[in-house]
Amino acid sequence: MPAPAMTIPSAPVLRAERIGKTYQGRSRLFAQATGVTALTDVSFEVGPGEILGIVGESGCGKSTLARIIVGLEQASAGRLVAGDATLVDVAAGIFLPPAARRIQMVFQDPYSSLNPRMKVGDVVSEGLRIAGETDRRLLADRVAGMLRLVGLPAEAASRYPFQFSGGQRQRIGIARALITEPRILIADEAVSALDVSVQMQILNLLLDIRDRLGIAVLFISHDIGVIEYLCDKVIVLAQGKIVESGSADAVISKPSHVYTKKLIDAVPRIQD
Amino acid sequence: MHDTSRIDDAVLEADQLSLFLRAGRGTELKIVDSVSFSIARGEFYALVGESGSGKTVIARSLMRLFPPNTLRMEGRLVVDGVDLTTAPASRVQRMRGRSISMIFQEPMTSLNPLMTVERQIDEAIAVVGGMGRRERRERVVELLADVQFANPGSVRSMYPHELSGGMRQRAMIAMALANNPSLLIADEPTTALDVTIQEEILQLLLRLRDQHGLSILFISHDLSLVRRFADRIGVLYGGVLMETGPAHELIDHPTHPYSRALIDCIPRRREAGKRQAGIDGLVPGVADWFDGCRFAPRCPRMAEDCRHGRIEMTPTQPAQVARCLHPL
Repeated sequence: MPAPAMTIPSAPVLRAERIGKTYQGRSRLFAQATGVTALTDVSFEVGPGEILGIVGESGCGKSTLARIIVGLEQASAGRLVAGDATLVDVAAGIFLPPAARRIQMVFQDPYSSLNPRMKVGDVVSEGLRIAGETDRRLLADRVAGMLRLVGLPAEAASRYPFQFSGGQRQRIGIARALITEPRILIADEAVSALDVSVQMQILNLLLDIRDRLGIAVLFISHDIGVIEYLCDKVIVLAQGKIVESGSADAVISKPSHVYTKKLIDAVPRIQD
Repeated sequence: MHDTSRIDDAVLEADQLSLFLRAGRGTELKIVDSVSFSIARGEFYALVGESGSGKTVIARSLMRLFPPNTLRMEGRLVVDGVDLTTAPASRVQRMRGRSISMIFQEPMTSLNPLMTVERQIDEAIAVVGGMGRRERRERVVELLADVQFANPGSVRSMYPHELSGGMRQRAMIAMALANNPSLLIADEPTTALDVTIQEEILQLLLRLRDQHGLSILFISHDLSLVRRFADRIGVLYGGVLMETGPAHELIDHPTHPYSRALIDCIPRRREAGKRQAGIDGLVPGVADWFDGCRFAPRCPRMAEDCRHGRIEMTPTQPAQVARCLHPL
């Protein structure tokens, strides 16, 4: 199946403008509160059907950025615009609630991110039920459709998460994220807990979903090989700032920033 | 012990090693099946495999780190001339730290948060005994310098929470080396660390190997990492050693279809519209192992004879052996 043309410039699905995040310390007697800056002036754009890789070492701010975009954390500066909706505008005091943003997340650990006491069908349909959908027939249909999309049998709905392998659980996590028809999917190290043979299945699933639904994906990872395989564009974060950005090919084959070079050189790779 | 040359050279020798997990009510599960490999003095040997392949159980069986009566060992597993499958517990206890040492994946959970670096390393030295306080103190500083702390004098009085992930792992290595073991087992020691720190730790292990003639058994799931650092590699699948040989040869020219498939799963640069294939299906669970080759149901080269009987290790390259009837 040919991929949809991704090069046609179109309105970005998500635009981040100078996002900043400072964690305020506590003020003590005679001492002013000092803050810790986690993100400074982070700006980027993601188009429809585009996969943006976010790379950096632990503590560089990549997960904070994801949490700000999805609405689990408040930015201290900047703007986030999705299509024609303003999600966040710190100066204007706008913080759209997470449920209204149409952004969903897939987490790293498929073992701890699914409620063990809920049946898979309930896990997957929860987003719709929270949004107020009560028609059980419709819910069951949508769940079956989502499970099919991620390559699981429809019977999976009546089983519990522990009956599935790590890769299958990650598929369930993706189905859960997609059922509310988000415009953006954020995958935070979504394949790093998986075995290589399973990892490739999930990466291909993400590519299929992107091709079929035209959804934008923010993919956070420390694995350069995975980024190279999956992503169209990359931003490299170091100490809360973007130090390099561009097409995945260009950034990885010809890194221009010292930090990016160091990061890429440290990754052992098997040459073809 | 007639073949002395072989014994002298090998620090570790596993010969048809099988491990059985006692599952209660007299039932046993075979979790490792007839694995044979050896590690020479000063050699960096990597065991690679996906989860459930048996790599960690093999590592732990070397330290006999199992509650009594939970694991039964068959075959031979010889380290420094002692067969661990039959040695009494007291003998194994004397070997821990002195013949064999181990470092783990998560350095924070393996260090005691309430003890300074010095006390933890000192504890490891004192267990063996024979050194006075001052001597031990000098040894601690020497060990910290050995694992390349720029300032061992100040690091020794620090607590684990004051150290970064990479520093903690180096403190762990210093502890493991306290009594000059011949074999260091490293179970995914860099998985929790950033890539730049990972590089640092591996360079350190290589340097220690060269300096002290240390043999290293490195457990990993990362083929690209071991290709770069290991001398030889063993590929495990479903409790069976599928192929073993020199690192570069094995990765660049695998002869077992499973090794090939595993290498092909490593994501790399993709041409627009193209896909790399994963391996279809799942790793078989220990409870449903079957006759013949464990990889057969997922193997592109599967033939009728793969589904029956026992498949032996056969040479496929000058220095490579594979357990396959239809090697590449």
